[in-house]
Order: sequence, then C-alpha cells, then structure tokens
Amino acid sequence: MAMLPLPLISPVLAAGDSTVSGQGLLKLDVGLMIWTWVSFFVVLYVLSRYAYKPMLALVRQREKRIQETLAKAEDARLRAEAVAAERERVLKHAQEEAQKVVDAAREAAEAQGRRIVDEARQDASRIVKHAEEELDRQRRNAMAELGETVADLAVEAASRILHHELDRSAHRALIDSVIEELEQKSG
Amino acid sequence: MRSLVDPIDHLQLHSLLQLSVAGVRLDITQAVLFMWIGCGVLVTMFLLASRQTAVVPRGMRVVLEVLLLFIREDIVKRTMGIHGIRYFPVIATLFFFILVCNWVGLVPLPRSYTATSNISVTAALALFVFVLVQVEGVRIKGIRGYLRGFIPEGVPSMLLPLMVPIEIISLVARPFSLAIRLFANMLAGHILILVFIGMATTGFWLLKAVPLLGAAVMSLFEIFVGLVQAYIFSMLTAIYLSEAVGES
Repeated sequence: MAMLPLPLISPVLAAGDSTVSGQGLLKLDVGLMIWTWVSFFVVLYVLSRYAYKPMLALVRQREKRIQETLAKAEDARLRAEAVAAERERVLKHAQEEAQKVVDAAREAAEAQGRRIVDEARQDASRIVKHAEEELDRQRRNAMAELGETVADLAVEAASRILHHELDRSAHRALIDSVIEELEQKSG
Repeated sequence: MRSLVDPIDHLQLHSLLQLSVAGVRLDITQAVLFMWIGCGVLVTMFLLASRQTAVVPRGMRVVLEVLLLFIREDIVKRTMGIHGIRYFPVIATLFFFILVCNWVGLVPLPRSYTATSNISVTAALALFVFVLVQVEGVRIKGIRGYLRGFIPEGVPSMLLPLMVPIEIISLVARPFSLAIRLFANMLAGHILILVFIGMATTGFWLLKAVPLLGAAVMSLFEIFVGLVQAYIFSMLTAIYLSEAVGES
C-alpha cells in the first residue's frame, strides 16, 4: 500500500470496519448528546470559575490603570500648559520690565545728555563772556597804559621840542583831560 | 481505481469504549474523544492564560482576551445591553466550545473527527440553548409575560388563531436551524476535504497535485468557517436570549 500524503488519511484506512450508510449521519445519538452536555457544563463551570473571572478582573484592572494613567497624563499636560503659560507671562512681564528699564535709562541718559550739553553751553557762554570781559578789561588797561605812555611821550616830546620847562602837573592834567575825551570818543 | 478514503465512513462514529448507564449507551466514540481533546486544550489554554498576573498580557492570553472582549462587547453587550452580562459565561463557553470542536477535527491526528459535524452534538447544544432561553424567559417575565410573547403586538384578534401557531412554529424551529446550520456547514466542509484527499489517492501521480491543493485550500477555508459558525451560534443565542428577557 502506498503512503498517503496527509496523516489525516491514515486513521481512515485503519477504520475500515465501518459500513454505516449516509442516512446514519442524521440519526441522533442520545449517548453523544449526554456526553456533549456533560462536557459543555464541565467546561462552562471550569472556565466561569477559574478563567473568565480572573482574566476579566485583570482586564478591568488594566482598564482602570490605563484610565488612571490617562487621567494623570491629562493632569500633567494641563499642569505643563499652566507652567508654560506662567512662564510666558513671567517672560513677558520681564521683557516689559526690561523695556521699561531700558526706556527709563534711555530717557535718563538723554536728559543727562541734554543737561550736560546745556551746562557745557552755559559754561562756554560764561567762559566766552568772562573772556570778553577780561579782554575788555585788558583792552581798557592797555588803553590806559597807552594813554599814559602817550601822554608821557607827548610831554617829553613837547618839552624837548619847545625846550621849555613847563609846569609838569598842569600839563599832566591837561593831557589826561585830552585822553579822557579821546576815550569817550573811542568807546 | 477505488479511492482509499471513504468520506462517509470517516464521518461515522466508531465505539472506542462501550459504556452503558441505566440502559442508555454512553459509548466513548471518536466524537466524544475529540470533543474531550478540544475541551482539554481549551481549558488548559484558559487556565494557563488566567495564571498570568502581569498587567500587560502576552502569548496566548492576548488572543484569548481579544476573543473574550469581542464576545463581551460585540455579542453580549451589543445584543442584550449591560444587563445581558450575566449570560456572558454561557455565550462565551458556547463560542469557545464550538470553536475548538470545529478546529480540532482539522488537526491531522489518528481517527481525527470534528464533533460539530455530528448532528447529535449540535442538537444537544441547540437544545440546551432552547431550554435556557425558555427558562430565562419565564424566570424574567413570568409565565404570563412569557406566553404574551406568542401574541405579536398590533395584530387583530381575528388573526390570532393563525399568528400564535406561526409564532410557536418559529420558536420551535430555532433549535432545528441552530443545530442543522452548524452540523451541515461543518459536515460539508469536511466531506469536501475528504473527497479531495480521496481523489488524491487515486489516478496518475501528476493529477494528485490538484486535489491535494484543493484539500489544503479547503482546510484553510474550514478554519475560517469554524470561526464564523462559532460566532453565528453564539450570536443567535444572544439574540434569542435578548428577545426572551429583553422586554421585561
């Protein structure tokens, strides 16, 4: 006998003693029905008691844990968002404060700059004025010295030219009066 | 050339151990043997899976949990609502019992036999469902509510003599349809596989390839059919239970 390709066939060949017709397929076997009920109820009892309950309990526990984890994750997300919002707020506040400080510093610097310029300008004008006064005073002194020198020279020159001894104090007064007139005319 | 495989002979019951209790023959046939093998595999898988205490399932437990949750959510709760959860163990066990009986016959073992391809097995299960549905209907609704179920709402009283018998026939036909649907589907598939294998044992060697391929394809298809038939049987049980107890 040739070997068959599938192991399924070998028991069929071994069971060659069966000669039941096809009509027997629809015949109810009470013994098999009873075995079916017995087997089913035993499986039902064992699985209900020892399998379904613990497995579904673990599923429920897992579902609960997943829900808790999701709730925690949601809570953490909300807190992170709150922290981010707070950070944004603080950052914005700090930027505003920094801007205020910068603005104040700029304003202060500008004011100080203006003040320094004003002061410098005032100092400069004061210095110029002082210089002008000093210059004027120097000029007057110079004019006075020049007048005296001119007077002396004039007197000396006149006395030498005229070879005449004059009253020195009278001439002096005359010349001073002339110089005063000149000064008044000049300025 | 005569085929070495006789499909009908293969589907006949052969007594492996003769037993008799109170005049009733309780022979251990290959149907009983393979039913027990299937039950043993089923119980072992579940007990091993239920031993896992890790929160994250692994291995076979993943598959069993998926099937259990499918039965609980998509068969029981969807059909019967949250109150139907008390019938979950029965419906789940029906599903797994039928599934393993359907599949264990596909395993190439000596005297391999699909218990659900025997009308006695499917009739026993259908009869159990029928009795369960009637008992639960009476228990939940009371005898008057149960009997009122035979009178469709809005039907004129003149039609009641016609409608009530139709309802009763419809009710009684349910276990027959349950039993014959499962039995016929499993029997047809297995006969087809056996016919293909029988063809492969005869004729020229080159011609054996086609029926062998057919047997392989049919075996794969029978895995799917076995799953679908288990689903249909348990789904119909849930629907019948829902109708019996749902309007209370």
